[in-house]
Amino acid sequence: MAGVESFIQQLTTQVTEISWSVFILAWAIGWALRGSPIPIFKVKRTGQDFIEDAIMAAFWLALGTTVFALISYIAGQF
Amino acid sequence: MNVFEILAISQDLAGLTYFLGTLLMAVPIPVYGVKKWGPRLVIDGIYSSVLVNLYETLIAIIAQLGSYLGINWSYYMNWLYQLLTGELQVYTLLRTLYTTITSFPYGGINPIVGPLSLFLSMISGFMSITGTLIVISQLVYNYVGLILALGILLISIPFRVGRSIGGSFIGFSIVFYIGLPLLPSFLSAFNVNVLQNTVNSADNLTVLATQVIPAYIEGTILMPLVYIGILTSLSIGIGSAISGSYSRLPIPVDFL
Repeated sequence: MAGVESFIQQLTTQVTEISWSVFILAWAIGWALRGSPIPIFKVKRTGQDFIEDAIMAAFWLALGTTVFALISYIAGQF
Repeated sequence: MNVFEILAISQDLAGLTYFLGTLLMAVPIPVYGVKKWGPRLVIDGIYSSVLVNLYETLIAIIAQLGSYLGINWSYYMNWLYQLLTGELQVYTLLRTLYTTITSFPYGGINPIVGPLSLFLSMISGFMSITGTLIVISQLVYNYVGLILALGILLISIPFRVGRSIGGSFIGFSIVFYIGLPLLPSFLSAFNVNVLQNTVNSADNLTVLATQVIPAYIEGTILMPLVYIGILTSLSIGIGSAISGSYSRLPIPVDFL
């Protein structure tokens, strides 16, 4: 049981790290597309979407990290 | 298996679901089929986490609701075993009659042998149904917490893999734990509780055929089956409400 638990926790940590990296990547790609000198609205709109999604993801990541850490801390006290 | 270990794994899975959701939200792939899973998984993670932390509350609510409705598991289990004893008595009586008749020369061609064999197999059927009810009841009574925790664990699996069956587990544990002990009261309300019915002395075949067997058919097959059907519908309803999708019972109860 402890093995399964530590495996899932390890996986979650890795997913969180990847999520932060992907957030930076998506944010950079978003700005690159939005700021690129390509006069195609669809491309610029995609860049804008990437930025919005990345910011939302970062918000939920930050919130989730805090909340789940808090739950683990409180559960560990009992 | 410890219930709290299962809950700990569920909490970890809820976290994993949540962070997978944020990963998919952030991923720079403009494909709706991939992106739509982001917010969905975030919500699923939060929902599973809430369910994990509500476990004790759910158990308390089940116990409280049961106490309001006046359930008594020891009385119910005792009732089931008394029912089985009653069926066994009728079976023994019929078997004695059958053996007595067939022990005479040419007893096998006696016209009463046919109905007796039929009654014997019917009573065997009643006993197997009561036995199944006992097994289901013992399972629910002893493992209600485990079934509930397993339901939460299944709901916590990412990408909604076990959401439907998880909801069913939770619905089943809640409804059957509260509902099963009310079976004797349900039967009494319709005046078909075999243990409360005053059947004349079952020492002759006419009374057996016209009173005892019909009472057992009604009180141990038809009405319990109707009651289990009602509980099943309620379980499926609660399971659907919890999982938000199609739900079904984790164990087959159509044992006829």
